[in-house]
Amino acid sequence: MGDGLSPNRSARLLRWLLPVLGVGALQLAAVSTVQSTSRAKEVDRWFPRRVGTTWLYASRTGGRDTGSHVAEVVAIGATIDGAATVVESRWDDLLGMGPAHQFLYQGATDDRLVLHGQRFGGSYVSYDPPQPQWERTAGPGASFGWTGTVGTEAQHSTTTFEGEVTIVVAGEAQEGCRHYTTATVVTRDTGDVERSYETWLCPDIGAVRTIEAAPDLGFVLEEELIGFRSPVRRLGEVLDRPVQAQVTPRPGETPGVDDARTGAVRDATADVSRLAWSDARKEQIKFPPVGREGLLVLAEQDGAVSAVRTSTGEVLWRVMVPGPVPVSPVVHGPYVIVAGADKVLSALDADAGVPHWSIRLPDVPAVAPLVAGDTVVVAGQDRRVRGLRLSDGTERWQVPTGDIPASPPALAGGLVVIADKAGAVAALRLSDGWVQWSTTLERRWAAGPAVAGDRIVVVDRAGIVSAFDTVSGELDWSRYIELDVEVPLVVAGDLVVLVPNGDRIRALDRDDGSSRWQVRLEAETDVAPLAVGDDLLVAVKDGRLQRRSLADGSLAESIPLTSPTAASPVRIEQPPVWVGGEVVVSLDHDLPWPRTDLLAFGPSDRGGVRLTGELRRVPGLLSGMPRLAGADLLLPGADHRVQVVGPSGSARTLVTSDADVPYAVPAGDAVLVHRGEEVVALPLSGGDPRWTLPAGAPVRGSEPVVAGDGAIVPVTGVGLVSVDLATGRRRWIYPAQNAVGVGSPVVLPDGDVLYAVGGLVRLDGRTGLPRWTLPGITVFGPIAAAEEVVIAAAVTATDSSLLAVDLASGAVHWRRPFAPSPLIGPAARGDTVVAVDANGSTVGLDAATGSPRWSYAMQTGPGGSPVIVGERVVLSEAGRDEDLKSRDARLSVHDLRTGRWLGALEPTGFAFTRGTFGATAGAVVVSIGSGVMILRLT
Amino acid sequence: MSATVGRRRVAETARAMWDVMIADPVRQGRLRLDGLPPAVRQMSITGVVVLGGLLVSLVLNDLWRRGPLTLVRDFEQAPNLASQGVIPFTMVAVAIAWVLILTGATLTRPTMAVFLALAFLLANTGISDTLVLGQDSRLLRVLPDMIVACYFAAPVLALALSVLRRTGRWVPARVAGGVVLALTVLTFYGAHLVVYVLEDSRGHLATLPRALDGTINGLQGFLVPLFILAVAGLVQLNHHVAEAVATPFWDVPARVAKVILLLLIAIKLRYALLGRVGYWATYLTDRRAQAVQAAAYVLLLGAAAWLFREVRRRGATGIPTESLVYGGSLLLSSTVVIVGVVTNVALFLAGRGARDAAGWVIDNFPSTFLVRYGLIGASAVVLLAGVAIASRRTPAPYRAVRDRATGGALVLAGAWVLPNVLLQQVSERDVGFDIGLVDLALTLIALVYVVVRWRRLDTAAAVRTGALLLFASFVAGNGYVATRLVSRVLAAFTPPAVLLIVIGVLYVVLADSSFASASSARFPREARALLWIGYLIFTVAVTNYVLVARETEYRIEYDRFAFHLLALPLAAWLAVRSRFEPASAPGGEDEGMR
Repeated sequence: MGDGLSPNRSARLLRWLLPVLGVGALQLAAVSTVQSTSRAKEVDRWFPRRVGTTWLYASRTGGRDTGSHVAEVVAIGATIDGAATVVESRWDDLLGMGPAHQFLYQGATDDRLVLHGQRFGGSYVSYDPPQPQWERTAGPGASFGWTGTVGTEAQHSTTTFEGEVTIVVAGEAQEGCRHYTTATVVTRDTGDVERSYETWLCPDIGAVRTIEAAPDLGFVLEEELIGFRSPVRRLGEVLDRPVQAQVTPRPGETPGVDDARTGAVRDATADVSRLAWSDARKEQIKFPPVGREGLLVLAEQDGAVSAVRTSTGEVLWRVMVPGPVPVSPVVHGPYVIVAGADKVLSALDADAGVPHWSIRLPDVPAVAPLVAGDTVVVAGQDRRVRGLRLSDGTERWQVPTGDIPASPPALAGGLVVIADKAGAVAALRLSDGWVQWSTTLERRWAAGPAVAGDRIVVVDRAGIVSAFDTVSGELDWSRYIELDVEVPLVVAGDLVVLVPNGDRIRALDRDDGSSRWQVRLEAETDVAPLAVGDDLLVAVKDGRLQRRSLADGSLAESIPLTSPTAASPVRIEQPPVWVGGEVVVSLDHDLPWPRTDLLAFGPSDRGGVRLTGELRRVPGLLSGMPRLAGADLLLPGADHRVQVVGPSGSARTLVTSDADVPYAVPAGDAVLVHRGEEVVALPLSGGDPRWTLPAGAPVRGSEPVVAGDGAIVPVTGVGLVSVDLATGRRRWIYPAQNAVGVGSPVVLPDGDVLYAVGGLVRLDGRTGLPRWTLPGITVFGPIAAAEEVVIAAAVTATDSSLLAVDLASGAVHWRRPFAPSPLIGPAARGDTVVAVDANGSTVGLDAATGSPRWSYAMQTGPGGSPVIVGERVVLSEAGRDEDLKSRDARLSVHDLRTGRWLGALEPTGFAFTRGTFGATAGAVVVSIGSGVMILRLT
Repeated sequence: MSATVGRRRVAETARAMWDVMIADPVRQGRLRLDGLPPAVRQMSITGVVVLGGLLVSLVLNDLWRRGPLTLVRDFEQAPNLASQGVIPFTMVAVAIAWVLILTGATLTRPTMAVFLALAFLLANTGISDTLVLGQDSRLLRVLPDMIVACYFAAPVLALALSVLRRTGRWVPARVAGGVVLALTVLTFYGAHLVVYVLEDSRGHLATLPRALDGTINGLQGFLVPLFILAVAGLVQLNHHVAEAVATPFWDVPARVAKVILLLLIAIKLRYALLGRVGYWATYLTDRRAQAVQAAAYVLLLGAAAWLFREVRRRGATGIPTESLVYGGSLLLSSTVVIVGVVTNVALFLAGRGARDAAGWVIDNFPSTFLVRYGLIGASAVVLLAGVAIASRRTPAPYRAVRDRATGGALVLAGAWVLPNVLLQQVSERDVGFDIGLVDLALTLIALVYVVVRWRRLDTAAAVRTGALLLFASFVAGNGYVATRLVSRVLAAFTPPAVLLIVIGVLYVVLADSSFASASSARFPREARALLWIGYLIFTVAVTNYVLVARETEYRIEYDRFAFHLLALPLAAWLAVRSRFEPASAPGGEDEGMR
């Protein structure tokens, strides 16, 4: 003691005790405060909001059975009102009127759940302010109210907590459920309308029964819960239980090609010279896709897990699990096994994305699961290997590992072989987890295990390749290769193929480890090769795919894989994989776009394309479609200006208006712009207008069309005006003064003009006189001309339909029911018509007969009219643009006649496709807010 | 022998083992807090408590992951998710570490204080500011500025207090300044945590987990000295255990000692050879380079034995192991630490807006050259210095012998490290071999030795040989033998390798910290204690974090590096230096500074 005093025992104790208590309390307070943000809220008891939670209701309308309703929490999104749980609902016969699709956005605090808005029938309606659905209330009889607007409709509602009840749900009695009633008054000019809503909420389940009555709309909808899935509760069934028939695993359904992790596809051919399809995504991936014929499953860094039907390009489903996804998904029969960062493991239905089951693990999986027979083997970061029942996810067995599992387990007969990072290798019996044998590598794990016949091959950091007998675990052979191996090995035929040092390929004899051949790559790779038939495919870092002979490693061909845009260098950080008969290579790009580019090569002459080009930065948001004038981009801006952005990104203002500028149409060396209440022809290089034309208030979707030396201009309150481009002189006027509708004219090759606002008409291009008319219809979007017919999404006073009218006579060829989306119309070329309705249902039709050739279903509504480029059609899906985290906005390219999927691109950033998507000068353009993507099909 | 005598003998034996294994090393090498000024002592005690908590957390680190996880790093093939709870736990521990280190800085000379102040700035550059999305709260608008202010204020304050201390005046102001310094550091880290909680509760992306992870990853190089010390500490502990196990046998009859030795050899051969002949044959043919390294190590052992025989013959009193271990760990980690400093300087510059300067530093500092050739140069210097010291002529016989011993030790170390690092650069692979081969070779040599000298073998020789074989087994097991039992019990909570870190760090704190109890004018004792405890907290907190976040690859590789380049020569040194003789044993030597 420096002070010379001798403290007594208790003082000594106190000296230690105080820090122990003080530091302990400080740590405890800090840890518990931080963790409190992740604790389940009270609201979650009544409205479970974990992604993957699924409810299945039986619906009755007016006492009549109207099918079922599946609701699933698919994402945590964000609206302008803040973070929101996204609940997707699908009715197979809502109110007896057919299938329906809805997204709800629910925000939550600890004691309140509010509805931000809902998307239904392709359009979004917000609740302003967000409407409370549930509030922590004192007890039965307490109520809470809300006054606000739903879209443009004023409403007032009062919700009352009626009392606690016990309810039988799916055969099980649920205690402590709460009954709420909501009375809503809708304010209308014609008088107030009353509606009611009753719901029974059970703890950890949510709504088990609802009754919604809207007398003004003439329905009473009752729904009763018959199935429920969440990681903590399960009731009844939400899906038909798959028949437990023996599922034959197919190559590519799991990382490492198969359950033996051989990385090899036998009896197949690798044709990497022909692109089958491409898919550019805006998020990075950590795992290559998995899948089988017609199904591609991809997990992305933000937690998006999606399934694409590779024949049509349709996104079958997309769920946003809490990201990042820690391990690769695995496909097995009807299941897709997916893990999230929240430690929840789910078996999703491969077709619907709805969970058959989900469970919460103690820790996230460390490696991709193995599904074999009726068991899912999951090796976790908690250093445990668990065997789960495939049917319901319940645990069969668990076995500890010394260190963290390093590589997906390999299946060898009835044994599951797993290696941990410290270099321990163990073979567990699949049936009960019993350790058949275990061994320790000299150094830490580097690669494997992979099954090579009756041996297990593993590589350690010392560069020792070891082959152990599958059954006994005895070392069969070992080979010291003196170089680092950091990528998974491949077992193909009688070879074990390694990538030592990342710059060479070395093949060992599978039976004794003797060296068979070694070749230099003349490049470096970080990823495992893929053996297909007699070929070995190696993706090297600088973006080339090498095809080599498995016999001697010789190079057969080297395919350069370029970036879709010059600004983004190519990297390959994922191995090539085999998905449904195609080799899929994943390219990783830096900014600006895309982050991930999947390129599929296949034996068929499918004619896949890539959407390549540039992202040109633009100043501000657009109010109309950008168009190319030579190399310059014309931008009608939301700031009432038209700007010209050159290839270098330099911008200049062409004209400023005092109102919206809906378009800027290039016309030779001039630009037609709607400025204020007139159309002006401005020199592209700038300067005063060459001429002006009084045109009334601008109408979005009504744009002039340039034809030869003239232009056909829709003029509000007048009709169509044909003008001389050079002078602005009126050539003729077609009157359509009181017409209701929106649309632009179409100029036929012979100069005649088609126009459909206020009745479909064909005008003589020289005189403006009608050749024929079809009155009684109008349009709210573009029309299209095919070989012999004109196609319009025609709206009448009573219904809407897709209409084909004979170009020569004006006779109706065919008509089919159709619900168009505003400002979006069909496209046609030759004998094919493509039309997309408000819900995103797209059809390819025979123009002459209207018979369907192909169909394509979007997850959300369209972002623009289909664009036909040559023999291909480009579709734009708008996505849920109310959700800042939505991943549904997408462009997809299809063969015009067959609908076959050729390519897709997810616009980077936040896509504003509505009104900004279209074709110009042979390119496809789309706005992403901060820029315009100018794309070509290559 | 009566029961009473037997019991007494067992008790004596147990006590002797305890003394050799635990009591003596701790008595001689522990960190001493008695005699420190009360405030410094209390801060040191607080630090030791935090360190104890961290070691417990290390042992039970899997428990952290049972709580919610958060993404901290996504550069690797698979994303790294850490426990949400370990973020504040680490922040609090690191905050206390920096309070101790900066307080220690105030007690040193200004030059040292400048160095430590810069260390604070560099180490925390990744969290020197924060991004706040939620502007709806006044607190959230204020805290980012507060964080930046504290980041700069804390080191400035420490430096000012150090300068003020030189004047010897303004004592009350210095005390108040010390309190303000502690509060500033705590506010810096606390404000980060408050921002994290507020942002997370609003559903915004909180930047702290990624920023902290980035900071910690930028600092891993500074942990290497401790990793190396921990590995060396384990070897020393193994040596004490072998010594302690041998203790009861020093006074048994020679015949008994010889039979026990034979039994030991038989047991070792049973596990090393039976069923493994094929393995060793393949090893010797397939992996010649490694076999040569193993043979070189046996030669090193022989050379060390010869050297110490000479030194011993000339009456040397020994060389302090602690300084050799610390010197070795600093030498081996020097290149990593320097590159780490340079990287953090660049990050600091970039963080302060001087991106060009940061780029210049990264582009122009010869990091690659240093990493490739720095250790080669340093080990060559050690080798030459050893030769120079050993051959230095001095009139004082004591110093001559000591020089010879010190120089010899340096020559041995340099002669081992230099060819190894050269080989590493030539082959572009980590050096290393299966130490089990050396263990087997020593066992076979021992067998031959026992058979040849059976009649002349006395108790001391038999016990020495047995202890050496035990020690070889322990070292070959890389400490696993010593911890196997414990690791089985704790397997549910932590990987066995983590226990080695814990034991190694504990050994360093308990038996290898005597330097922190010494004092000098430049570096007073109170400053040493605070700085040393602060460093230990910092490194163990970071180690705990990387384990919970499953980012252990880096550490493990340095374990190997340290084991091969420091632990193996140290083991040779320990084996030949004491010959496993306890101080009281017949013929035992008093090393004095063990």
